[in-house]
Amino acid sequence: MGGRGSPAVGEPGRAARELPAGEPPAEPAVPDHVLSEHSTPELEIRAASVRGLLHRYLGKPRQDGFSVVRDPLSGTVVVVVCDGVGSLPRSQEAAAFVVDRLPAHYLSTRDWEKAVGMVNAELAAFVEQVHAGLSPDERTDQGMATTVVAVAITPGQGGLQVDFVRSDDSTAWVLSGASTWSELAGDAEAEGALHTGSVRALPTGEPKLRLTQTVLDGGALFVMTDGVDGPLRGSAEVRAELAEWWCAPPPIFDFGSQVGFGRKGHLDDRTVVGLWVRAGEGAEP
Amino acid sequence: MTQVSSETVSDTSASDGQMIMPFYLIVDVSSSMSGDIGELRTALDDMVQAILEDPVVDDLVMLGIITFNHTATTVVPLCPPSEVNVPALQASGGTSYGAAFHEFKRAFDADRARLKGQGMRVYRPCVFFLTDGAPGDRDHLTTFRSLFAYDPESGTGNKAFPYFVPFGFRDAPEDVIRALAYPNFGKTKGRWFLSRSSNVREILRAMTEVIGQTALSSGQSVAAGAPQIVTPQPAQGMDTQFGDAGDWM
Repeated sequence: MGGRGSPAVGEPGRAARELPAGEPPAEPAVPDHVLSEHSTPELEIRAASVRGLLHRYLGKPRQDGFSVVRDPLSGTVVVVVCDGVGSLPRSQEAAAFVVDRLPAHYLSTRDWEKAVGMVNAELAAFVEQVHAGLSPDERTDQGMATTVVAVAITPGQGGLQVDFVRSDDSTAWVLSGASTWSELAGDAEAEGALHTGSVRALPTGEPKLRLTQTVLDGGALFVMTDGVDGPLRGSAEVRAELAEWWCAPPPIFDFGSQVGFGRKGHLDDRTVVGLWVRAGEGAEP
Repeated sequence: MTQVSSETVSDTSASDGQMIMPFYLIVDVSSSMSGDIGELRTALDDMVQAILEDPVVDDLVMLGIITFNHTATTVVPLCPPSEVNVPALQASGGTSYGAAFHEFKRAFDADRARLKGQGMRVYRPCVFFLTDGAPGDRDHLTTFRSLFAYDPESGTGNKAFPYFVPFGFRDAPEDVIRALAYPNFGKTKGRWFLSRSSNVREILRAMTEVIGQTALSSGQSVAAGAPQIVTPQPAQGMDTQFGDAGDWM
């Protein structure tokens, strides 16, 4: 096992095996872990956000967030996943801000570029309000930023239309029925480069977005933060294990435990929203 | 679900997809160190033990040790702290900085290729260079530049340059030590340390304490979302000069 009841994939590492849950916070804070599950006529949905080992170790809160909403008129399901920038202490607030507001902006515009632009401007105004009257050092102490990845899935005659956007290191992956993982709108790390961990987060002067559209005709789509993307991208062993676990929608409590799997050196917060196409849905007519 | 298949992971101490923060110690074992070699080994052992007390750092960092006199040898290949076994050290010979630089470059290039081949994400290496004497090779700075220098504006040179922290004591010349701190650009500049204390035992312990604390702080910086070398700070009560890399390059 990977520690505290979660499974391991490969060597879990000492942090997963040895670290305790951590002390309660001095003041009410975001919960350590969050689970949600939903069903629509077309999709079976599981969502989990798990506080990373390092945040537990350092007594810092989980800074990931997610939201799942469905527009009853169009049947469009909107999923937003945010990864707060860890170097800024209040980034969990930025993540919560964006997952709360972005779905409505998308549903009102049906345009991710416009929707992200709107939430980016609102977040910038919120940060400015928080920082008003503070010194530069105090502003750093009250800093916040978040990356974002989002999908909108709309049923139609041609199948399930997927509109995708991401700002940076949070991603979405498709798991086919043949247990093959493929990334939506990925970009490869430059050959020979050292890993930098740098991100382009909201709020920013001009969001740099990657947009793509596709049709989901079976299998499952997973929207996630880099806490899971990192090991999934880097490890054939993780890809195989997660494909086995997630070839069909698991019970929600199993899913939460699986999202928090132990693996040496992977200590970040973890968030995954999985959307499984229901049998008979999604295929081209 | 915990089994590791032999075809995907051949080394149970490491997992593909894992992030690695490599730390290398380059240690002078020339003849002038003959009276201190036992203390040096004890200090290195204590440093490793201090790192082992933190399971998070033990998971994230790897340590390698290179010794040098007129030649250089990797005596502890890059590995997790829990696998470090500091060997018996012997002092003899002259002092060739260039030999040490070449051996580090060779070792890191090989380690990096090996780790990336296992799917790991390798962060910039941090090198601590401990010496008590002046270099016997006059062209050591040319060697250093040719192996490690990088120009961020033009993008030329060694993009995988190390964060280089020289520690000089006893007869190590100040200008020589200062010139080795690297990089001299960017947010986290290289830092040099120099001690003229006559108590070599205390110097070595203070130096290894700095190294251990830097490894701990850097490992813990993963929580900030962008793992990075945390600038080494002098140990408490350490009788030493220190400063950041200048503009010698």
